This record gives sequence, C-alpha cells and structure tokens, in this order.
Amino acid sequence: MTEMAILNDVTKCIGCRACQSACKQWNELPADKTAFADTCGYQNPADLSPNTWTLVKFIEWENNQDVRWNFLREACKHCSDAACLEICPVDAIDQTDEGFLIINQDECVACGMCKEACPYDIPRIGEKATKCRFCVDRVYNDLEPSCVKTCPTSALLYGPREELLEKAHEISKKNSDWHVYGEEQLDGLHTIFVLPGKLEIFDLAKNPKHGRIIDFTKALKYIIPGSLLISGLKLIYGADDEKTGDDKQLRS
Amino acid sequence: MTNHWNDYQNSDVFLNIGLNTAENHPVSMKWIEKAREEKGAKLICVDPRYTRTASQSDLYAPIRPGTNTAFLSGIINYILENSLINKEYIRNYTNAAYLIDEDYSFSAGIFSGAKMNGENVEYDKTSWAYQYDEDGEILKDYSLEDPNSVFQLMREHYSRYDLKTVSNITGCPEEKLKEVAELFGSTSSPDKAGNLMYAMGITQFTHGAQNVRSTAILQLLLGNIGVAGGGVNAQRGQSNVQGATDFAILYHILPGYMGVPRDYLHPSLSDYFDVETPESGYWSNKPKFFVSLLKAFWGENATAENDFCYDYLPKLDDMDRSHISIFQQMGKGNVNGLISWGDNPAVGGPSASSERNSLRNLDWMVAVDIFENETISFWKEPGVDSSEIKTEVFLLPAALHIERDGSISNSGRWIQWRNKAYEAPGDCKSDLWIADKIFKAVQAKYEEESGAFPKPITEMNWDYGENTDPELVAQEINGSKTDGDQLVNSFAELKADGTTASGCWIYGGYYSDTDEPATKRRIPEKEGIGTNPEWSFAWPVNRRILYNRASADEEGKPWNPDNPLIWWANNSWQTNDVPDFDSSLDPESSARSPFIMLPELQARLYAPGMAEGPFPEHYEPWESPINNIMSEIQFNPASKVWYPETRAEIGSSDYPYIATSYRVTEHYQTLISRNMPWLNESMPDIFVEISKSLADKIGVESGDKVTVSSKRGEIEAAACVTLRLKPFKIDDQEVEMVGLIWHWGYAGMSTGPIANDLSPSIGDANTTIPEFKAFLCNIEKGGS
Repeated sequence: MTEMAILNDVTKCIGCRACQSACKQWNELPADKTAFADTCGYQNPADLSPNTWTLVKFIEWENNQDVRWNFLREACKHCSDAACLEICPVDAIDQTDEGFLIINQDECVACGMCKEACPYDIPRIGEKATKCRFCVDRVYNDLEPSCVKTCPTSALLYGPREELLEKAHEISKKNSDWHVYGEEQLDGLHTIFVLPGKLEIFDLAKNPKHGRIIDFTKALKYIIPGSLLISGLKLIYGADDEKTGDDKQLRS
Repeated sequence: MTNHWNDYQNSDVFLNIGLNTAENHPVSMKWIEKAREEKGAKLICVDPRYTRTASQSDLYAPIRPGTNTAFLSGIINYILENSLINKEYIRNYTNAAYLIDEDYSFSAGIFSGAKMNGENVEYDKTSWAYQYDEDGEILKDYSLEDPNSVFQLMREHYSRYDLKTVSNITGCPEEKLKEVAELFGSTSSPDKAGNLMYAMGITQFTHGAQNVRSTAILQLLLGNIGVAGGGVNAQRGQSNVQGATDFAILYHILPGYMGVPRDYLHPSLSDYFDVETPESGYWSNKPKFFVSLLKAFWGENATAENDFCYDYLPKLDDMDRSHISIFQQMGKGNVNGLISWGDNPAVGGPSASSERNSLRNLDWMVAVDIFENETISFWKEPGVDSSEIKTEVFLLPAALHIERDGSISNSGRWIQWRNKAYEAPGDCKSDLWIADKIFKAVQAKYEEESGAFPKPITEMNWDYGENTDPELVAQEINGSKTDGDQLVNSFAELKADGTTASGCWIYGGYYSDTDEPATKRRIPEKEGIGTNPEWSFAWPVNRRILYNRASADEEGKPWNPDNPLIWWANNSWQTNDVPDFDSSLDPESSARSPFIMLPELQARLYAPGMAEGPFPEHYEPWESPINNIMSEIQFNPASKVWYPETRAEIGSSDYPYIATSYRVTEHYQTLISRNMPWLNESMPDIFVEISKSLADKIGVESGDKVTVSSKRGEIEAAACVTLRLKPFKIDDQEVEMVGLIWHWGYAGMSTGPIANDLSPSIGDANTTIPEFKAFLCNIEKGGS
C-alpha cells in the first residue's frame, strides 16, 4: 500500500479558511462561540477543539522591515512514529497502511493521553478524543479529503507521499528562504509543508519529540491492568483539555 | 472584464490595484497561482493595507486611499518617459494620433471651458473636441509629433506626475513606485501580457470614473487590451453583478447598455435615434436593438405606427435618480413607497444612519430577501421607538440562488445556467415567481380601475406560464422573430422594423437552441489557451476576449505567438476566439478599427465625454487630511455636493485620520453570511484596523474598545493593532488610517455596529457611486 499525504504549500495559501469550513461541513461539526477578543486578530477559533479539527493559524511577522502574513493549516500531521498510537491505553488508535491515524470513537475512553503525548498538541478531548481523520470516509471512496477538495489555490494537495515530497522540494527550490518540513520528523509526517520562512516562525520544532509522559506510561502498561491504568491516569491528568499551560514542559 | 477568469493563466504580470483579490475573489487566486507556478508570472499588490493578497505578492506597494489617479498617472508618466510602451499598438489602435481643438488647454487643475461656481465647475466641452476636416473626418497625425495630437497633449499632461510628486501624494515610496512601473511596464514587450485587475477600491471615489480611465490608458499604452492574459478586468463583488448590470440595475440604462430616454432630449423615438445613434461603430445598429427591446416589452401592441410603444417607456427628467438622490428625496418626504429587492441600504448605503432615518418617511415598504435584514427591520433597530414609525412593511421571503433555476453572468461575461438543487423552504419563492405575481396583481388592478396611464401595464407582453418558467424568460431575452417565434442565433439577426424581439440584445444566441442551449454547455477545452468556447456562452456572440483584433499587429501577426487569439494565414483569419471585428476584412483594412463599439473605432486615450475632463487629473477625496498638491482644485469639481454640512474640513483636527472601508473573506455583503454559524465562528465581530503608531498615540492595545467617529456618526468596535497598517508619509507629514469592516448590523445571528454610519453621501461626478473608500474620521480609546 502506498503511503499518502497532504502537501500544505504555505507559499500559496491565501488564508481564505475554506479548508476550515469544509472540514466542519464534511464532518458535521458545529460552530463554537468565538469572539474577536479570543485572538485579537483574524484567526478564529483561537485553538483546535472537539468541534474544530482543522484550523488556519494567522501568522504576522516581520522580515527585516517588511511585514509578512502567512497562514498555516493546523491539524493532525499523521506522524509515522506516532506517540498517540503508542500511548493509547485502550489501543483505540489505528495507523492505516496509508499512514492515517484514526481514533476509533467506539473504543476511545477520552483519557487524554494522546493529547499529552502528541508532539504537536493536536487531539482535543470532549466526550471522546477527536482530531483530523484524513477524511477516510472520502479517500476510501476515491475522493480527496474535504480540505484539499475545497482549496482554491492548490495550497493543499493530496497524493502519494513520495510524489508530494518531490513536489515540495521542487517548490522550495524557488526561494532560498523556503523550507520543506515533515520529511524526516517523527520518521516522516503525512502532512508535508513548504514554509516561506524559518521553522520557528511557524512554531514547528525541527526535532519534535513525543511527550515525556510516554516513557512513563510504557512502563506502567506492563505492570498495571488496563482499566486500572486508565482510572489512574484520569486521576492524574484529568480528562479535560485545560492543561495546555503544561504543554511546553511536557515537550522535550 | 475585457477578459475572463480562466484567461488569468496567460498573464505575465498582475497589477492588483483597488481590490483585494485573494480576500474578496479567492477563486481568482487559482488562476493567478497557476500563472505564477507555470510561467513565473509576478503579482503586484497596490493597497493601503498589507492584505491577504499582499501576502502572496511579489511586490507590495502601499497607497493612501483616494490617490489611485495620482498613482497610475505616476506609472503612466514613467512608462512614457522611459519608452516602456507599445508604440505601434498606440499609433494604430488608439486615438493617440487625433488632433484636438486648438482651444483645448489645462492649467491649475482645470480644463478649458470651465465656468466655476464656488468649488464646483460646469464645463463647456467644445474645446475638448477632435479637429475635423471639411469632409467631417477627424484630423490625425500618425507620426504622433503634432503638438495638438492626443499623444503629445498626454505627454504634457502626465509630465507633472514625476515619481517624487506622486510619492508625496500617495505615500508610496519613490523606489516602490519605480519598481511597480518597471515591472508592470515590462509588459509593453509585445510577447508579454499585463493584467490589470480592479474593483471597488478604484470606483468608490468622487473621481472613481477617472480612476477607471487611468487603468484603461495604462493598459492601452502597454498594448495590453485585446490580448490573452491582458485586459482591464473589473472583478465583480457578487456572482451575478455582471448580469444585474447587463439587465439595467442602474437607473439610467436599459437592458444591453442603452441609455434610458430623457424627456428633454428624446421626446419621440426618432429623437432618441437621432441623438443616440452614432454614424459609425457597432452602436450604429442601436435602433435594431432598441426596437427589438420595445417589441419584447409590448409584443403585438408595439407597431411601427405607434413608434413601438416608445411613449409607454418611462422617461427620465433632469433630476438625478441615483441612490443618494433617492434617499435625499425620501428624507424630504417625497417618496411614498419602496421596493427593496435583495438590497440592504440600512447597512450598505452611504451615511447609513441617515438613510435609515429616511426610511421612516415611507408609507410602505415591500422587501424581498432571504432574511429579515436591517432595512426590513429598520423600525426594530435598538433605540428606535417603533410606535413613532408609520411605515407598513411587507417581507416577501425569497428563495436562495440554489433553490431556483436560472442563469448567472460572471465577471468574465460567461452566462452560466444553474439548476435548482433543492426546494426552497416554507413560503420562500424565486424572485421570478414574486415578480410575476406582483406584476399580474398590478396589471389586474389597472384593468379593473384603469388609472392615469394604464396601457404600459395592461398592454405589457407578459406570459411566462402558470409556474413562471425561467426558460421562457431566457427565450425572450435571447430574442426571436415575431412571426412564428423562431429564436434568433445572434443579435446580428435583429431588425428595427418590428419583425424581431429581444429582451437584451447582447445575450443573443445564449438560448437559441432550446434543446441544448449554449448557456447550459459544459464541455471543457481539451487543448487551447483557456478560451473554453464550448463551456457556457459569453456575451457578446460567445466572444471571450473583447477587442481581440488588437492581439495582432497591423499585418495580422499575433503580438504573442504563444497565445494567439486571431492571426492571418493562408489569406484568411485563423482564430482561437470569436473575432471582434469584421473578419471578412484583411489585416490592412481592419488594422485601424479594432474598437468597434466606439464611433472612432480606435480606443480613447483621450475621452472628451467625461464630466471632469478628457484626461484624468488627481483631485483629493471630498474629505482629505491635506490640500491637493497638484493644484488648488481640492476635490473633483464636477462632483455634486448633496450635504455640504456633513463635510469635515481639510486637515480637520476633529477628524485627523483617513478612514477606508472593506470586506473580509469570511463574510458576504451585509447580512447573508452573518446567519451562518461557521462563518460567524471564524469572523465573529466587527473590528477596526490601525497601525502600531496610531495605537500608541491613542493609547490602545489590540482588543481594546475604541470609538470611531466622522462628521456623520460614530461606532464602537474593538481595535486590531497590526503591523500590516503603516502611516503614510504625505508631503512631509505622517498620516494615519483607520480600516473599517462594514458587514455588520443589528439583524441576524452576529450583530454589530454599522460602519457605513460614518461614510459620506457624495458620489462620483459621472456615476454617483458613493465615496466609501476615503473619508475623515477620529478614533479614541473607550466607548460608552
């Protein structure tokens, strides 16, 4: 089976947020109540949520004296070396041959471990853990993911990962300030980025690591029965997603 | 548009000026990005703010709102001085060689023939005319050397717009102006195409029409009109604005861009033809289109004997009937009733709070809309005591565009039929159904009760079936022969003798085959240059790129052999598009007549019919922080002042900042999108954008509440402090700007203050489009 991916060519993104809306439309996700004060800018919602699996981040920055404005699609990057997959105490997460990471909603117990372990802080925990599922119900029926389908400028493309990597390198060659991201990280992401600037501007780590919690739970998994483990971890970490303040410490 | 969306893939350089294409026309970026990726095309963005379009641009140039004519004049002067022009194109295809009356002059901001009346001018345009020989032929000097030639007068006029002066006016640094001029000027090379795209940031000024003229002059000098990838491309802000304009949404035109008759100029049909029909050019056929329109209106009742019911057609008097004027009259109590159809002036109109006040003087209002918008619910506005309002309001719920069959005409003039996707909910009905029922009720009333002048209504040709079939309307628009109803294949078949009828002549042929109407065709081009001739139908006659004779040189050789539209080979014209000239003529005979809609047959670098002068001249907006640097004439002197008391003085200390207004991608016009939760989620509230320096000056940070006021009103909103706005350096002072988003109002799910409460009620001298894009305001921290 060929590994598949989304190419997010940020150099072509106009920030129209059609992908953000299309994700909600296809997945039948309701709108959250937001306010300008949440971000004091164009971006909204401020963050991913159980109802928001795809979010366009608005990044205003300065390159010497010149202002720049870029737009980054924030969603699960579907890592090959997937912390969520490893840590899930009830094995509710599947990794398909294509590289998609799918949280099986029937099995998920909303313990929040996947969020804690995720190097990119992607899953959100409501009644269940939720995140982008690569529109498997579309792609297995020969349709592109909804975000890709709706993108007017082809800033999002869907296809075999190797082909998209090649294309990403071809695009990035046009400008010495442009970088490809997602080739090596975590044994290869299934979202490849072409970034019009340094990684730090886009808050993307060069060497992302699994949340440290993973080593701890690996050990626990061997010695404690599953159900007990879940209750214990829920006690420790809670099942909500309000712990974002600790994220940076959890990341190495 | 002279060109069309798909043709953007053929452009080498894009000049985005007076629009924010990525923000308000996101799908345009599909073609722009394609051109950039596949052929290394460059995107220039000229905008007061660093926008989503600017984020994609190869070159961003800031511009103070209201200085587009100065900006474009600076570019025009630069390309003239540096010979970045296509001289052969100019000589043959424009009026550059024409000699102008020797009494023509321009000085101190005023053209010859001026009679000043305070700040306003009335022009006697006699001295603006061409010179003619004894046989009535225009005198021309194709060497372009004669000092009275358009070309030489133009050089002189524009020589005043050197980069330093233009930089002082526009706030755009000199080096940026030069970069823009050189990059866009590079398309003067015959094999390069420059695409000039504009929208409301060009038109919504007291001098908007001269801004548009400036875009046309620039594109003509570069040889960019009529070629693939070129053009002056007015991007419409709504999917069917083109269609609405084609069908006379404006008060002074009839369907197909024929002027509404005026009682003082055209009392009879023969007067209308005498005054309005030019002797040369395609408009010499106007009587055929006009009589066919009258036949569509009044059918068998329209006969040669009764001038085809010309007397039934309403005539304009000498009163302005534009939007500002109507609301002024309404404010005076002179308008009793209003049908507001898919419109929302309570939010979208200039000085909107004043327009809402005017609505109180109505006896009745009928509104047709998909939602109960602010105009419909003006009597429910917070703070308004509805018991004091007498107006009786009727809301007729309309079907959304996907709930009805019909065609829309996009910016590229493609008339595309679309089918109803599902039934409209509840009592919602299509606009056509509503129009049909209203008309029939009015007609029945006239039949019962007669009235002052019933015949225009009782004798109207009106039969679209019980279920008001849009296909029958389409057939009427397409045109037919009156004996036997055979549909015409094109407007070339229309006649002035009453044997044909046509509801909009330019649409002729879009529906002539009722089994497979051209408007319903969906065959993508397999190979070609993006013309897609079998995809829908483009008016006129399925021509995709207007003035395409100008895509080839005098001898019929395409300027750009890679993207030819027409070319002469084997003693005949070969084509990638429908020729926009008499293709029975050889290259030599057709070389000096590519602009067939003008009586001169050559494009106008010099336009003697404009209200404020034959060449564009920079005037400040009605409200401006500075005195005009170019002359003592402060603002367009031909522009009518409606409410002098609502004007902030020049450099007002009460209103020291420039305000401009615009839309965001996430919302659509006024109310429609604010009832859409996903869109409200992504853009929940009104905010005003300011620079960091202005924020420091008034002591606010992003998210703080601010009050923005103008001479017309005030609103409260959150401040968005951003790097993307910077003060303009104007004539040695720094001028700050406040950016206003105007979608919000008090109706619907997401509510907010109405930004247009601040905008002025003054319009362009030719069109009266309001000056929404540049006026004066103040901004202070805090609110109520």
